[in-house]
Amino acid sequence: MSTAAKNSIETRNLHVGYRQKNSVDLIQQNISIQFVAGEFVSILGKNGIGKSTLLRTLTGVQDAISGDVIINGRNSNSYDFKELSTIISLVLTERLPDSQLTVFELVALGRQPYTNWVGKLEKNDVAKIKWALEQTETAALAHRYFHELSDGQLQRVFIARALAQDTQIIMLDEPTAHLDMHHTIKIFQLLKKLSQETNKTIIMTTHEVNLAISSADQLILLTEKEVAAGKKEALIASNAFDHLFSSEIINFNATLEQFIVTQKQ
Amino acid sequence: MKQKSYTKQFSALFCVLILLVLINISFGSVSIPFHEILDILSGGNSSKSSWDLIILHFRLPKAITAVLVGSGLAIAGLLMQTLFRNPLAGPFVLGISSGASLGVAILLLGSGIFGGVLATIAFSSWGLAIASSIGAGLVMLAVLVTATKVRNTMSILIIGLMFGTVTAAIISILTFFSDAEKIQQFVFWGFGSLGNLSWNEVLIFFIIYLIAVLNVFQIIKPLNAFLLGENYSKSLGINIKKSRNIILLITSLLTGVITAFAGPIAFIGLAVPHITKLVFKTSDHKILLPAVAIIGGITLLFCDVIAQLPTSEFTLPINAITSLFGAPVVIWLLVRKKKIYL
Repeated sequence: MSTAAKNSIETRNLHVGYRQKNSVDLIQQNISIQFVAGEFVSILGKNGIGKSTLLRTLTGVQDAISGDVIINGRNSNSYDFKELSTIISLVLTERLPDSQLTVFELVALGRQPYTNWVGKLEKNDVAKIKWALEQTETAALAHRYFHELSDGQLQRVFIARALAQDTQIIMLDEPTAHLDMHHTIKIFQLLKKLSQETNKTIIMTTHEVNLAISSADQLILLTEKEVAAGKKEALIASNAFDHLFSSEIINFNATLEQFIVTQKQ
Repeated sequence: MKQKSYTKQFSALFCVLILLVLINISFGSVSIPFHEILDILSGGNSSKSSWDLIILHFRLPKAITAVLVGSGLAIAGLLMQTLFRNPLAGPFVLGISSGASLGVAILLLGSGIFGGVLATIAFSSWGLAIASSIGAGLVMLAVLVTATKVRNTMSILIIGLMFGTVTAAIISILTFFSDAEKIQQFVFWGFGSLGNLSWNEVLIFFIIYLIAVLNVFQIIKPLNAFLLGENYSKSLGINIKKSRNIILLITSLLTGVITAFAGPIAFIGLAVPHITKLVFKTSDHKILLPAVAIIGGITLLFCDVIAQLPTSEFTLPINAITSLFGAPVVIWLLVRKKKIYL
């Protein structure tokens, strides 16, 4: 493995979609993107355009239709779940089954790839869990049951769980979906800070386009025609944002670097 | 940030278990003074040799059977609740016990109809245990396959109920073609009984129970990961298929061997895990598994004491007692309007 391949994830001519019995439902094609260590990446696009499908394919939960996901110089399908669990951690949108897990126990489950056969927590495991709780400002909640938490607290606990898993890449599917503005911004700031301080690659799908444009290091825009990826400035220069929502209701304003609601006169 | 410690609860429960074993042994149709029982258990001789026989060859194996049955069903119930992410799952509710009954029915009743090899297998304890485990395994497999297609918790319960009904129908058809003697044998088996087991049968029971329970140790981590759902479990490196197969094996063996030797016993597998979760207030399977085993044993010993109708010479069917105890627990769980946790 070359050193350049270390700490990297990239896609080559990736086609994502769903395999039916005798047909293929192609959702996005020819995706070639590189993610660098320490990068905070937002995947943007309107509903149903394939953000989650792309994310699921990147994580290995779903198979690619064709093309490759290369992780650290190796094709992702050459990894087994066990290996992958020490490289990629997830924050998903799905609701957890009702259980009596405490916040500490939930975050501790992130240590499973490293613990022994009964899941005994060693000193360094506990230290990692504590660190993850502190980073996400959830240490005070450690002994609460997770089902007692608010959505905003819960989302930070899930991020803590992903941090405890100690992977170079964290992928999040719409982590701010049910949150108010305050908690949404808090999550964005937390993720940005984590990418800078821990050098982890953090990739998320989101509908918070304006927040993403102002904070992400790399933006991936999914549209019907193409997939555009790059830094904010480059995407603005190529007018890529204009195609994100093919709608007369909202428009991208290049000077404000924001989407705004079109004023009708 | 210390983790919770449960030493107190465990030592208390263990004392209750030992106490109930002693109480269970003390009651029966023949009354034997308590100090004589202690004498016999500690290896001495009592004043009547018939008492030795009753304690050592009848009541002691029965108490051990009660502990094995109660703990085994409770473990099977807990595993199924976690696997199906369904707090109302259990070997009886999902029709696994019915599958085991079908295995026994085919062996007991079928030996009359088909004769030959079945007849010789029918009277060996191993044969009964294996047929019953296969029956349990097949229904469990069927429920598992359908559960991957329908995710809705209610649908899974109804599907389990349907499998239970189908096996009951097949059993009644088998009964229709069997002669009276075989039917009587099967009906008596169906009442459920913890007694009637010789030491030799208790040993066979214990061996199969042990194989199942030893396998539990390798799925403690996957069970805890399942509390986060399937996708998170995968991303934590859990081999879901393998864990599922191990759970299939354990629940089939436990339900199978228990049903073969003690008859179909209702509600223990469903009620005991919930009582345990209420007492321990945790979902960590490292704690829950030994806890449901002990509470399961206690529950069945207790039900058996009631079934003895202390001081009377009658013994009620154990199955009836567990239903009388278990059904209200389930109803209470559903109506108390609090969440039921995995």
